[in-house]
Amino acid sequence: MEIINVLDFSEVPGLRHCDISDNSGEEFYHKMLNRAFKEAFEKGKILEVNLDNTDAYASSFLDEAFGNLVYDFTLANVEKGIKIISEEEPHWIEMIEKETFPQWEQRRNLKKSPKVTEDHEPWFRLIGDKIVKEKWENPSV
Amino acid sequence: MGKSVCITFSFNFEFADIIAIIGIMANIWLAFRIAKSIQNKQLNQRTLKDHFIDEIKEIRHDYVNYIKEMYNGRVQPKDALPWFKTMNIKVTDLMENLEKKYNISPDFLKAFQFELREILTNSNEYNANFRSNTPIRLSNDTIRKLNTFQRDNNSKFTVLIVHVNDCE
Repeated sequence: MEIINVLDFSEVPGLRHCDISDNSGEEFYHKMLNRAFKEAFEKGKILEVNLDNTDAYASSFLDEAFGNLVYDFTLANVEKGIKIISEEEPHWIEMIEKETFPQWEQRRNLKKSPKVTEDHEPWFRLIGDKIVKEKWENPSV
Repeated sequence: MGKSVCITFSFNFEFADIIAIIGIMANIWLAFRIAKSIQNKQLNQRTLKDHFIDEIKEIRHDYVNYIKEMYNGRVQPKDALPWFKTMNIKVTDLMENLEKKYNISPDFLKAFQFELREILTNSNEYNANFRSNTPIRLSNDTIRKLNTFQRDNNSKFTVLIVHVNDCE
């Protein structure tokens, strides 16, 4: 099992997008979660994401981070390949699994692209059975 | 000179009588112990209920005050998230105990734990003020949502207190 801690990204996670807050869910996804999941996925391992010990979360941070994961890797792969730890506030796990995951899977099926508010480095996306690295979206002007 | 009468009582106890007397005394003692134990148990139950009711009142007080702060434009965005986290942990802990002891649903105060937070943190004014951490002046839309929330949920604390009080 591979493990990442949101605390290593920031002690004070922000909101959904880079244009409204520092340490946003968008930034966490592009700087940490996307690569970490890709590496675990390629090794056939489960990625454990520990939410504990940060200051606190806004639901939008978690929705954006884990939602993008579903969009780029599909719900089936994310459900199999991720384990979320949240001892301090277990309800986040329920929100992510019961709301974020299905809502973003629906979005993926409708090809409703995620919004990016910053120019990110190319990131990984599963296309068919291949992982492709590209700048999939650009910030809208 | 008067005559005096002396009455002498004499008891001749058989061994069986002694056993019977000991048995009666033992039963009296046992009845006393049982009554005392029941009284202690009732006192402990009452003490525990009062403790939980005090906790519920404290949590209610915290939420009521915070909602006032929201209406009065005194909540700073970056302080709100840790406040809700602390309250969530407190409420979850309390509700777990109430579920164990009185079989009360752990989701009873869910609206205060989650819905109230979302009303604030999903508002445009919250997002707009987050980076600068400026105190949030609620929009009319958010105020309406908050009014509806209070109308639908404020009585829950009283209902919870009654539940605890009425439980065996």
